[in-house]
Amino acid sequence: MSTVLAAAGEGFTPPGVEDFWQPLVGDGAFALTRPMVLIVISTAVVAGALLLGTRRLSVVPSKGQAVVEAGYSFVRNGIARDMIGEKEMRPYLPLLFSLFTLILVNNLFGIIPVVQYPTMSRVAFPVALTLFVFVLYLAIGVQRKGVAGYIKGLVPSGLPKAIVPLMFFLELLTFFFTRPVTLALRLFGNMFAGHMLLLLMALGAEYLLLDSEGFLRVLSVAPFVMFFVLTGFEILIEFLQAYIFTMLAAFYIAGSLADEH
Amino acid sequence: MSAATVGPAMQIPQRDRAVPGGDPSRPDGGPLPESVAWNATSYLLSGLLGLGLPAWTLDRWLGWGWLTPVGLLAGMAAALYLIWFRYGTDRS
Amino acid sequence: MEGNIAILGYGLSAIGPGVGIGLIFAAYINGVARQPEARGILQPIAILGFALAEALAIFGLALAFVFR
Repeated sequence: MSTVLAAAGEGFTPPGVEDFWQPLVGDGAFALTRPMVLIVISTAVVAGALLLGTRRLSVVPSKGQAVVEAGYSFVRNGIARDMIGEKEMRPYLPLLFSLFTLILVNNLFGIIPVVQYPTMSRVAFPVALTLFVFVLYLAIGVQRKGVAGYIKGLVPSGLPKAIVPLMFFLELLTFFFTRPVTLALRLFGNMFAGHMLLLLMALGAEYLLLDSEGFLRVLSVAPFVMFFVLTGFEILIEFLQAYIFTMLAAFYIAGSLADEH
Repeated sequence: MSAATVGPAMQIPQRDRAVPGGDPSRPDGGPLPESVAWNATSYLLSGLLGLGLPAWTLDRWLGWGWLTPVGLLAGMAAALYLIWFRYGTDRS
Repeated sequence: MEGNIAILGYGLSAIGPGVGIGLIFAAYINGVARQPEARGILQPIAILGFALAEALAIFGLALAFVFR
């Protein structure tokens, strides 16, 4: 780390936000950018893999079917059943499974060579996914309890009368602002910062190896090794973020489904 | 001890649903602690935002200088109380 | 180098809660692994401890914005 910092003083330009703006065709607000292409590719990859994996279903699964089934049972048993419960989870399973696979594939794009761009590091993509979840859990809550019942159900029953308005204000803020914002920003922040770290290590190693002289060239081994270590770490984060996003979506849906509080 | 008596005891029990504040009607698993923890984070953030931001604005407007810390502390206290009430007490 | 020292303060203030939250959930996992039926008792305690530790980190975040 210290080698990179020392180099920063003499002309090393650290990576910044502008490195994530990569238009392919055109420029400005209507440019066709790299993440736009990637999310289309990821949709095709997910759909293709799922169609191929479930084409010839058999009791003794083939390799592809086994992978698809493992992923599905992870979402079904590990997330939906624990969060929503056996009785109510069926209508929401397709959504949760699509969310999980889509986010996972898009996150893994961050470390797949040549592709190497986590789509979710542009904030618009997690915001779009979050808006979908947000509208869904609001709609479920209103459908179940009606608008008045939903608003009333925000505050847990049994609070002392004097602080109910304050708590209602906090709950309202949580439901309509903090929850969706943190849901989107958590995914965005993790992907953005993780990729930025990889970029910093790669650029630091390149700078030390090519643009410095003498002993400093040897030191380029350090960021290079760190690059590989962090890549392994990044795989873990990518799985974890897909899991957390799906889990919280299920949790919010379950909260809207519950009868009380 | 025969295998029959050992058998049931060796089974890993289903996750206990007796979480205070949880839904006792669901016999299968409860909300995972991670999700509840992330939700608690949301409450803390909205506590700070909900009382801290108005206090900060008033502070800038009136120029008092002591309202921001008071607002932040009050917001944090309210959020912690709400979390304690929701997840920390047995209300069943 | 340019930037804002307040961000550095937030980084420092996140160290303590990070360690604390790790310890809290380590103890929680330990307890549930040893005695799965105690989960109902342990979870609220773990969540409360988490909220108290997390409150400090979020204070750091708020102060980084306030004293900019």
